[in-house]
Amino acid sequence: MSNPSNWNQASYISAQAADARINIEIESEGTVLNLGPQHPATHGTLRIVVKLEGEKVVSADPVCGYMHRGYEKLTEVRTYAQVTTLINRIDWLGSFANEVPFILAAEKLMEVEAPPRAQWIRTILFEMARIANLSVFLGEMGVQLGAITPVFYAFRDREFVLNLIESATGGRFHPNFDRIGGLKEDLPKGWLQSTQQAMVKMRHFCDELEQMLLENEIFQARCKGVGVIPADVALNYGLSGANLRASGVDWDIRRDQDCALAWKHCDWKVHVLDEGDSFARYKLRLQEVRESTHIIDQLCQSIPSGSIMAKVPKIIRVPPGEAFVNTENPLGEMGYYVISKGGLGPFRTKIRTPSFNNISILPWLLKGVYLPDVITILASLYFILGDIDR
Amino acid sequence: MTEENHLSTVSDLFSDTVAHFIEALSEGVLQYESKEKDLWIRVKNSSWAKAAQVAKSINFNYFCFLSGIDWKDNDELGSEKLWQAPSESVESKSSKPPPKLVKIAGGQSRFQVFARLFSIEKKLGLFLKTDLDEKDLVIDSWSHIYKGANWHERETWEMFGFVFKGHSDLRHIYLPSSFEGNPLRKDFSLLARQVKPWPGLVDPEDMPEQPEQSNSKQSNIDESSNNSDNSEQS
Repeated sequence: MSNPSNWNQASYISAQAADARINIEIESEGTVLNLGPQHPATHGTLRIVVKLEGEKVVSADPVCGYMHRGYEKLTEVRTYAQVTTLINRIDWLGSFANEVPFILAAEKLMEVEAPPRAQWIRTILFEMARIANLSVFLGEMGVQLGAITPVFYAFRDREFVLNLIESATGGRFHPNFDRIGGLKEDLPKGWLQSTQQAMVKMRHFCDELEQMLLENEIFQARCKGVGVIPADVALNYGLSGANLRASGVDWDIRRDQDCALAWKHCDWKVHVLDEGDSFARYKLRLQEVRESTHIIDQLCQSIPSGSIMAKVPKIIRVPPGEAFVNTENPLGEMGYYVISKGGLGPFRTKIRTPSFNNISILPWLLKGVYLPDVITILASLYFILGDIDR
Repeated sequence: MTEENHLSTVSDLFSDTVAHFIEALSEGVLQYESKEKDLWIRVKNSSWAKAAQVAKSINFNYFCFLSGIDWKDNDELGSEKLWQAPSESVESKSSKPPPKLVKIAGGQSRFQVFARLFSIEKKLGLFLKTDLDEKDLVIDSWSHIYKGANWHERETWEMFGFVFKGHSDLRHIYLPSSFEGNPLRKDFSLLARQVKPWPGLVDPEDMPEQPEQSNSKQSNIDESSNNSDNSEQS
């Protein structure tokens, strides 16, 4: 450093650095960053207006509605059978799971119950929707942290499930298979065997991801202790599903609520974690996919024979009344409050979607975290835009 | 109101809950009814916020949703009323007792606010309802009791036009801020239905039996859905 030209250079650099520091300080008084509407972490189009101080989030305000399609209004001008086509598009990664609670609500009003075989098939497809949905999450979460490989594994292995859903229902993403009183068709021949084979592959997929992502040091460093949600706050905001169970609340509608589906005939476990951070939410969903494969295995072995359709009139009029049915969907608690006046279609349907409540916690949760953690938290809360905006 | 109270039935699961509400709100509880593991309580407009506090104090700590209902039968609207019951079927079923669940804990006025809470400990659900006067659509906000109510109240304000007193941030959530009207009210017409009747009403049931009829029916559908396509085919 004795060389005078070096000294000059050094002083020049330090002067530049001082300038830059001033610039940063001026900027940091209120940087507003628009996250989205088309950020890949948002699974659709959600905008989050983040106010920053340096790299710290001062306030975050989610702006939704870019995908609002007015389903609650549209259900009022459709017949019950036509509504299922619409509500397939709410959570588009696990479509079949959207149909079930609505159909169950209509069946509750009609006092009809689907025959056992239909209940079994419904539950199998419901759990398949969960696997298809959550496997995307399991891969996508890696992408948000810069690991590209898991998402390719996820999309590759999700095909096993989607192909099965397609061969049974005719639709890969939007089955529209559930009917009041039962199902559209019975399962194709050999479907149960290939399902059990696919479940083995899905368990292998979970093992792979566990080794690749969950045991990865960088992944753990980015996720552990980030975005901690205490149980009472989670309940207050109405968080549900894996987000709630990762905060230590032992509540699963599949186990705790009695409905005409086949979960009560299986031996399975509800996983609960106490940490409430991003890592716990990821780990929990991984375990849930595993658990789902075991549920499907058991149901495939115990599926009863018989009819798949209860006796319902050809033109369905639902008697007047109100019914609420909720189920444990891949994203959390989904419920339909159906009000009927005795016509061909519902008078009013309130659709309770899990993601709407799940992201309403964002202004509270993102306050004070660092910008790179915002992405981890968003990804680990896991929402789907169709499910927020309806 | 006493007549309605006589009609109310409640299972043993909820006797404690109902007792709590009556003790805390006394006159505020208008009507209650339970079905399976859910309880419906209709409270007075003025006790709406207090009802939430009571519910929270007896462990209904999970906030599920809050929304509104417009009970108006929109006769002025020209669209097909799929929800409407056919008049003759009501007469034919008159031998049966009339369905009790119509407007379960329902009110007299056009608008209602309703919300669902859940108790994780007891695994019981609770629906709270209250009537709103059509001329004065103001109701106390729950957002300081249940944080989750914040967004639901914004949505309800946007869709029905109810004003939540004490809500700090009542602005549009789904619709653009310049939007006028309250879409979920029954007198807000669905524009798509005004322009074109719902093609889904055409019943394709008897098409395969008689080929001639089915052809004519097919062309009818084509005409209504896409005129240009049809002319190209013919």
